[in-house]
Amino acid sequence: MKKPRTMPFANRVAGVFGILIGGTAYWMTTSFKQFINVPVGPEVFPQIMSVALILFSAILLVQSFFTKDRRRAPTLSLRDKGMQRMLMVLGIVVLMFLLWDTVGFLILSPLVLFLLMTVSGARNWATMIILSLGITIVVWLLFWKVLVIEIPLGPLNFIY
Amino acid sequence: MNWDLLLSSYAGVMADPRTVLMVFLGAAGGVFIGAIPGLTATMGVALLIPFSFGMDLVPSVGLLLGIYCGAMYGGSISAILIHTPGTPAAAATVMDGYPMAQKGEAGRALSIALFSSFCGGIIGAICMTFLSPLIASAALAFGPAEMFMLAFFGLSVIIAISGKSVVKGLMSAFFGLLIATIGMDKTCGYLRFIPKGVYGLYEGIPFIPALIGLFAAAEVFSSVERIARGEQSSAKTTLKVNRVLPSWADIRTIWKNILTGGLIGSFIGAIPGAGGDISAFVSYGVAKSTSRHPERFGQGTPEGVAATESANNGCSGGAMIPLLSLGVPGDSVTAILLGAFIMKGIQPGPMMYVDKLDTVYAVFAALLLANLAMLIVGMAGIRFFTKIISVEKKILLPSILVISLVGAYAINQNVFDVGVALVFGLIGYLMQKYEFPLSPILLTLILGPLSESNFRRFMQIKDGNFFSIFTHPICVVFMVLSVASLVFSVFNQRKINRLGTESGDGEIPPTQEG
Amino acid sequence: MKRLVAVVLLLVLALGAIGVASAADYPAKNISMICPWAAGGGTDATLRALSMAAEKVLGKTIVVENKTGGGGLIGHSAIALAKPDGYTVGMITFELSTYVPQDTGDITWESYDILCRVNTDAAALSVNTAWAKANNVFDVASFVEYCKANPGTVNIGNSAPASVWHIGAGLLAQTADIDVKHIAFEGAAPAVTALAGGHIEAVSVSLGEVRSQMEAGNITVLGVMDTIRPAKYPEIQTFQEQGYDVVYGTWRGLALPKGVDPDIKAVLSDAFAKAVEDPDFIEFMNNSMLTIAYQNAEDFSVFLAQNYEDVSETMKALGLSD
Repeated sequence: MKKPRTMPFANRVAGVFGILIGGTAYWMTTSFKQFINVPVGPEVFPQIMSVALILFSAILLVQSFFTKDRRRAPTLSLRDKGMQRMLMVLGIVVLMFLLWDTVGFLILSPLVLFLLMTVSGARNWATMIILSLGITIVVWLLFWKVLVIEIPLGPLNFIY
Repeated sequence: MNWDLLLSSYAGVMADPRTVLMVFLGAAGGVFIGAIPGLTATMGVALLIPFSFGMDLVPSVGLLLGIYCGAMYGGSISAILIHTPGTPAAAATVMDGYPMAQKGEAGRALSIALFSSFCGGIIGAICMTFLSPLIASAALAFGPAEMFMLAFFGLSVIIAISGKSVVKGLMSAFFGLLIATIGMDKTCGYLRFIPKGVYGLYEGIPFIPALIGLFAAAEVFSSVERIARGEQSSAKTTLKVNRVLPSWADIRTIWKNILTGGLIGSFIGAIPGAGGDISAFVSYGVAKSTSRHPERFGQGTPEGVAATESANNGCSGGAMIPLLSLGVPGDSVTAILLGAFIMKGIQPGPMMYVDKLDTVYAVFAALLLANLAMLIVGMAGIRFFTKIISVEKKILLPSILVISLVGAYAINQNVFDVGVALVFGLIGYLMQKYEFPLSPILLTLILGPLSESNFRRFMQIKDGNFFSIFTHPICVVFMVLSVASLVFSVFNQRKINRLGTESGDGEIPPTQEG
Repeated sequence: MKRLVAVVLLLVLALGAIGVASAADYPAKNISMICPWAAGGGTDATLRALSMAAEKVLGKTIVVENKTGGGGLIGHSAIALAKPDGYTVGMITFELSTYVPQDTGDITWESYDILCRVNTDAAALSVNTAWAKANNVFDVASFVEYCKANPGTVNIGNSAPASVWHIGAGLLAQTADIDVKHIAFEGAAPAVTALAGGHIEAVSVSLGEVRSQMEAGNITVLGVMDTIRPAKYPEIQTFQEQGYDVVYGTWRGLALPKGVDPDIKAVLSDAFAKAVEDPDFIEFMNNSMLTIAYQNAEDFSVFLAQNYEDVSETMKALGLSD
């Protein structure tokens, strides 16, 4: 068991991330196309912003060495139950995104809702099934009939 | 001012049952559309335009204004209840509205939002009726230089919305400004940071999917995590909804915020290209700077909700000014309204105040009526809306997540945007976890492109002579205001840090941000 | 074995029958219409009005889907990639001619089965009235003269980089051999507002966009890049009349994904040809200052090929493509 990380440590990591993001962005702007007759080119704003991001990230980094803050940082450990649940939720919705067009809303949404409810801790199966189907159909009909937005239905697309 | 005509036009509108019906239908639809993230007033108005073809001018304009005003308030419902601004204009309402709901004061927050929206809307309508010629001439004075300085002024509230750590707030802000430059640049058409073919990012990061990700998805992720760890109860949130309008005591604390918010909204709304989102943030910054309790902002203070909601609804009246008196639409909704007028053979513009004064007054009356309709619909709905969060968390959270993703899809009808929402959900989740405020990202995603494109446009017109900006009086005024705002917020931050621990505002909810 | 062959034959026949039936019964269900631009814009308004007229002919509902973003690339791609069953139609717009020259996308008019052209709107050159009076600018010639006397100082606003109005202004500069600055705004309306406020000197957007400011007297229209004078404002001269051979503007048309059954295509062609003549549609277009300019698939394809060539050339001259 590693010793718990403190908030200043987390800030240090965040500072390094900020510097990396800013640095990469700045490096990318150096290869932007140069335009003639344009006093402020497309590279100027991103450059200013990335320098500022690097600057404040550095300040956060430096601050983290001089603070008396000893609060524990929130964990990202995969052994943590909360993290596991959160990643499951993320995984389910990423799957929903990937299958959005091919499987379609009417099939996908009840499954996703049911799984998400299970992950969130619901166990009253009958209610969950009814709600998953009910919410899906209400949302779908609302978008289709009232807002005239056709959410892809995959194999069921013939309904439209 | 032709008082007889004014009164007779008002009476004509209020007495016409068809107009009243249309306005109420519009307001009810608008509240609903506004409350669902991903559905915007623009979409609602565009959908209903074909139905208004067959109607007379006043009822059809009434219908559209009803949607416009209703959606402005509707956005605050989801902002307060589920941490997701239903419209960009309600983005600033999250900062205090959601913490209020977390404290069990959802009903109070909603009633304050509703009352402030109504008052803001009325202030906007009054400004429109009486100050129109005055403000209209100012609207044309806003060129690229002035728009740039307005955006800069808007950015000066970042410190005020940064929360506990100003450094982290500024990091969020500059991260937002940096990612706001992704996509095709608006001056040269050059693709920045993305390869050819990623069409979904050509026009920049799609704003509403990003907003849905940062707020709705991120909040669901972290709630699930906390519930699993037992840090947050999965039971329903307890509610006290005794009233649908704020108490007298509340009104006494917030009336100043409502008045300034309404005026800020009316004025910023009158500037073409600036709307409810900017005015709400500016009003929030002003309210915090002038408050005797700046430390309560971000923890769920009625003043914050009142300031933002009065400002964004004041905009609807303000936006009518350039529309009617100049024929210049200030945002996408008024652009559609302009089309509706032209369809009826009425060309808004200076001549309208000479030839068609009765129509102008009828529009004013319809706007007042629309605000009234919004108030009545809202009052009737508060008990119903608050029921939403009295649903058990393990049922509520999955539903919010799925409906939000559908909303993210709906805005462009593009699956790519669902992916954007998820990426921003993850970013928002991590940022919230490590105490980086999210509101600065939202503000900078709105103001970054506005400031960049106007700055570059200005530099192009002036051949790169930046210092000529000092010859624009409006720019100088905004410069002074920006400096004042920055100084105030730094001063305020000191005060807050000093008071920090003594704050007697009750328990700080773990999810509060900003 | 015989049985199997019989079954297969039957199946083939059955499938064929379905195929035939689908062409004969077309349309059997609602049709979706992809609009590459947002609800509330000019393209969306045109498409919705046209759809309402076409519904009367086809007897089915037409659902408008605003697939927006990517400067129209998302919607334009969605039309090309849709299932070619005749139940997805799309509106294509001028921007289609710019994607390949600007190297932002890979689709051109050749990616579709072209159906018809619906509308064209000519570019117009408009100037700030006060500025024009002060500098004695009253027609295209005097504008060109002023630009020659003051090279690189006149700002002409347009709706976006590489937009139709940007290219229109570029074409004018090329033809008249003048040195002007092209200022991109986010849409035509902000450019017109900036012109009315005197922040720029001219804009090159369509007459419909400047009409209200023209009637208010803030803006003066010097000429339209059209072959005929505008019906509603016959006092406005064309560029050709003023000695500048510039005819230029935006267009909107309908297209199908490649591979649609020719019979179905014929049904749609007829339906939209009729829809364009619907009195409600005509009234809508007139009121919105949009010009109906119907062309059938053949003529429209010739037009598109020419337009693509012209646009690529001007974009090169403007430095928008390599």
